[in-house]
Amino acid sequence: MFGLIEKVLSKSVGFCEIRVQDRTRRSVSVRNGMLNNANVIISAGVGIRVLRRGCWGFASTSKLDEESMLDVLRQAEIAALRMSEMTKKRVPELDDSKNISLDWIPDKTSNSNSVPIDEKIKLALSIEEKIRNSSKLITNSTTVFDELIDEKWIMTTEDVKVHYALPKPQFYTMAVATKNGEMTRSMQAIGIMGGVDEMFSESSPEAMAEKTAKLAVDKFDAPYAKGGMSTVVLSPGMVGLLAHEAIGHTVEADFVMSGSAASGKIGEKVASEKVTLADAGLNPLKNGYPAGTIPVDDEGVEVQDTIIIKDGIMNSYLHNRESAAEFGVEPTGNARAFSHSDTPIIRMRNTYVKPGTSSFDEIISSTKEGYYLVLPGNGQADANAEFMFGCSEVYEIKDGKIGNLIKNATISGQAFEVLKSVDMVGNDFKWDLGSGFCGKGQAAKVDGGGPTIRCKAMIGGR
Amino acid sequence: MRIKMRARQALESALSKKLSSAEIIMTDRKTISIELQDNSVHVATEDTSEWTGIRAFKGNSLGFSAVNSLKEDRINGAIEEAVKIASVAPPDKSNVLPEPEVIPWVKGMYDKELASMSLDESIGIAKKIIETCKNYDKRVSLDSGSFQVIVSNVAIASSTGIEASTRQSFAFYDIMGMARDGDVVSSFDIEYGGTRKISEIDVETSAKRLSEKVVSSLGAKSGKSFTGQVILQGDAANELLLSPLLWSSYAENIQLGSSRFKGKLGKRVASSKLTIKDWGRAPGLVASYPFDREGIPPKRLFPIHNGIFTDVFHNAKSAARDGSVSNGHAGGSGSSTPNITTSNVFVKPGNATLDDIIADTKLGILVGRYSGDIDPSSGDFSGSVKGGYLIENGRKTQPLLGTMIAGNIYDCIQNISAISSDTVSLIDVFMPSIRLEGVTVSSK
Repeated sequence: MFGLIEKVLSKSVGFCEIRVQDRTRRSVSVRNGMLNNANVIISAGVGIRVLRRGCWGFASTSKLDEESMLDVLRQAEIAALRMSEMTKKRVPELDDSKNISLDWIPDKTSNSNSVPIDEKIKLALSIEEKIRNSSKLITNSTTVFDELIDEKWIMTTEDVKVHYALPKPQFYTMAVATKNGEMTRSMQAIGIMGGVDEMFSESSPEAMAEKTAKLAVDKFDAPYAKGGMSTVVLSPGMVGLLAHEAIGHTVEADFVMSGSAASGKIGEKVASEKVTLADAGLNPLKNGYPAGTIPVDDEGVEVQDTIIIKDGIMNSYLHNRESAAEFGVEPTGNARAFSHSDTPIIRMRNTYVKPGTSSFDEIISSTKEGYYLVLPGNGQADANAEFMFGCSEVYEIKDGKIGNLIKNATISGQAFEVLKSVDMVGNDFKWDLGSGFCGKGQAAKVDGGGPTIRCKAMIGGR
Repeated sequence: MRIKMRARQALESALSKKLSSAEIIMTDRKTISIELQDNSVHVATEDTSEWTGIRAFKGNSLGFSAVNSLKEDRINGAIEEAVKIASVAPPDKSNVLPEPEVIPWVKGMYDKELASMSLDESIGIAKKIIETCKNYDKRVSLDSGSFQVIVSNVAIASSTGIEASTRQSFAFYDIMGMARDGDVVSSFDIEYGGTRKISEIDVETSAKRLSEKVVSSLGAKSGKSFTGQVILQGDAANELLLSPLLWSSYAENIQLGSSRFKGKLGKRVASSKLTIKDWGRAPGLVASYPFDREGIPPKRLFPIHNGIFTDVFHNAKSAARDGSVSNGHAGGSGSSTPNITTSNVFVKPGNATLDDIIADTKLGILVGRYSGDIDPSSGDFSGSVKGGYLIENGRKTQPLLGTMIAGNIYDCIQNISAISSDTVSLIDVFMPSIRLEGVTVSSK
C-alpha cells in the first residue's frame, strides 16, 4: 500500500497528507430468541488533505487505484485553491511534524478477528436466552456483539509513514421488563481496544446478562430520586463520563477558540487540588484496554498523555497541528478522522482522572446522605460547561451506607463548579466508557475512566 | 440508469450461489461539503462513495454483507460473506422479501441546478452563514457547521421481482454556536435545515434564528422549582415527546415487548388534541421517498389520530410477523439491513399562537432544547433545559440556567393543555409547540 501512496504523494506540489483506511465491521444481534442481524460490512478508501496558499482542501473516494487517487489529489488541490480565492482566513505556519515511521499491530488483533461468525451467533443467542429466562417479567431481551477492525496507512510530504491496525470489539446486553403496564429498562455494555478474551476478562457475558435482568426487574420497586443539589459519589464509569463530556469537550482547542467556558483558563484554578485530569492516546496506567487507544493521530503526530488539569489548575487544551500553531504550543496528537472520508478534527482519546488516596469504603462510610451513581448513560455538555449525564444504576446513600436502588436519574451541573466540589478521590481505577461512539459531526471510539470520587451536583428527580 | 443494471447483474451472481432468494441494494453518492470552524470557512471537501449491500436467504436463514464498491470482484467477495452467514444463521420465518408494488412518481426529488452547484457557490453560501451571524451581533460565535450538497442514486433488485431506482438531490446545513460577552458564555445552540431545491436554500433565516437564540440566552440564571406547566418548542418537543411516541409505534418494538403501545391499537393513548401523520410521498420534501429500503412505496399513516393509536410502522419482516404486508417504512442504506423508519412527520397544529400560549401561562417554563435522557419504553425522562425561559404571569421573565425537568412522557401526553398554531420545520418533522401539565421542574 505504501508504494501506491508514495506514487500519489510524489505528484503533490505542496503539503499533502494521505490516509488509506480498510475497515471491517462484524455485528451480530439477537432479540427475544431470534437472530436480528448477522452482518459483515467492509469498507476501504482514501482521504487526501492538502494545504495550498494557507487553505485546506480535502477529497476522498472509495476507489483505491492510482488514477482515482490522483483524481482525488487534484480535487483536494482545487478545493484548497478555491478556498484561498474566496476566504480570508489562513492556516498559520505549522511546526515541522516529527519524522515518524511506525508499524503498530497489537497482538490481540488476530484474536478478535478469528472468532468465527457461528460462534458469535451462538454466544449472542445463549446470553440473550439467559436474560430472558431470568424472570417472567422480562418482555424484551437483546444482545449485540459488534467489532470494528480498522487498518490505516498514513503518509505525508513531511516524512510521516505510519501503518497500524486496531481491533475494537464491544458487547451489549439489554432488557425491558413489564409489570402492570409499567416498563423498566436496563443495559450493560463493554467495549475495548483488544481481543475478545480481553473484553470478557473483567466481566463475563453471563455476569452481564445476570446484572441486566436483575436491574430491570429491581427497578419496579425503586423510588425516584429527589430533585435538587446533592452529594454524589461517582463510579469510575461516571467519572470517565464527567472527564469526557463535562471537561474534555470544553478543552478541545477548536471549541476553546470559539469561546467555550475553558477559554482563557490556562493557569487558573478550575478544580479541587485533588483533581488531576488527562487525555491519553496510549494507556498510561497499563491497566485495562481503553477503547480510545491510537498510537499516532490522523495527522501522523505521536500521541501524548496530555495533562489537562494538574492538581486543580488548568494546564493544557487538546490540540491538532493547526490549533497548536495558533496557541504556540506542541500538538497533543488529538487530530482524528473516523473514516477515510472524514477530515481530521480535534477529538479526545482516553480521558481520565488520576487516582487519589481514599478507599471506596472510606468514601461511602463518610457520606451522611447522597446518591451513588454507578452506570453511565447518555452525556452531553454545553459551551458554558453545563453538563447533563444520565445514570441507569443509582443507589441512595444514608448514614454512610449504600441503600436502596433508585430509578434512572440524571445529574447536571457546571463542570468547573462540580470539580471544585470534589472532596474525596478514590485509590481505585477503571476504564469504563469504551462502548459506543462519541459524536462530533463524525464518530470516534473513545474511552474514559478514573477512580471513585465524591462531589456535589444537581440531581433531576421528582 | 447504470446502477440499476449493475444491481440486476449482482442479483444474478448472488442467485447463482444456490440461494433461495436474494436482494441487492446499490448506491452511489457525491458530496460537496464546506465545513465551518471557529467563525470561518475551514475546509472544502469532496467525496464520492459507492455501496453494494446483499441480503442472502437460504430458506428463512439470512446473511447480510456490504462493501463500499460497485466493482464486480469486491461485490462477489461480499456475496460470499453473506452466503457464509446465511449458511450458519438460525432460520426465522419472518425473514422474507416483499412482493413488488407499483411505485408512484414522487415530484421534486431531484433538482438539476442543485446537483450541478459549483464549489464556489457552496463556499459562498457557507460564508453567508458566518456573515449573517456576525452582522446580527458581534457577540455571536460560531463553533462549527457545514453546508453540504449531495447527489445520490439508489437501485434495488430482488428475486421477488422488485426493480426500483431513483436519483435524488439534497442540500443540508447545520450551525452550532454560542454568544460570549466578556466572561459570560451562553448555552450553545444549533440550527439546521435541508431542501432538495436550490431555490429553497435559506441559510440566512437559520443563521439569524441561531444568533437571536444565543444572544437572548446570555445572562441565564437559575429559576424556580415547581411542578406545573412546561412548553416544549421545536427541537425539545421533537426529542422529548415525538421521538418516543414514534418509536413506540414501530411494529418491531411492539412485537418484541419493548413498546408501551403493545395491545393498544385502536385505543386512546394521548390527549384528543394530538394527531401525528407520516406522509412519505409529499412532493419535494427532504424525507420523501418513492420507495423504501426494500423497494416498497410508503403509505400515509396516522400513528396517533385525535389521541387514538391508529397505525403501526412496518417493514416486510415486521409485517410478516403480523401476517400482513409492509407499509413502506423500511429504513436503512446500502450498508445496512432494513430497519423501520418514519418519513415526513407532521404534528397537527392547534388554534392558539405560541405567544398566546405563553400569555396564558401563569407559572411555567419554555424549553427550546432538551439535553437529557428519555426511556422510550417506560417514558421516564429527566434532563436539563437548554435555551429555556421562566414564564411568570404570561411573560418570559428570564433565560434559565441550571434547570432540570422530569416526568413520564406517556402520562404527560394525556394532559396536553395547548398546541400552537405555528409550527417549525426540523428537516423531516413539522412541529408545533406543545404545553404539558404536571412536569417536575428543579432549579439550583
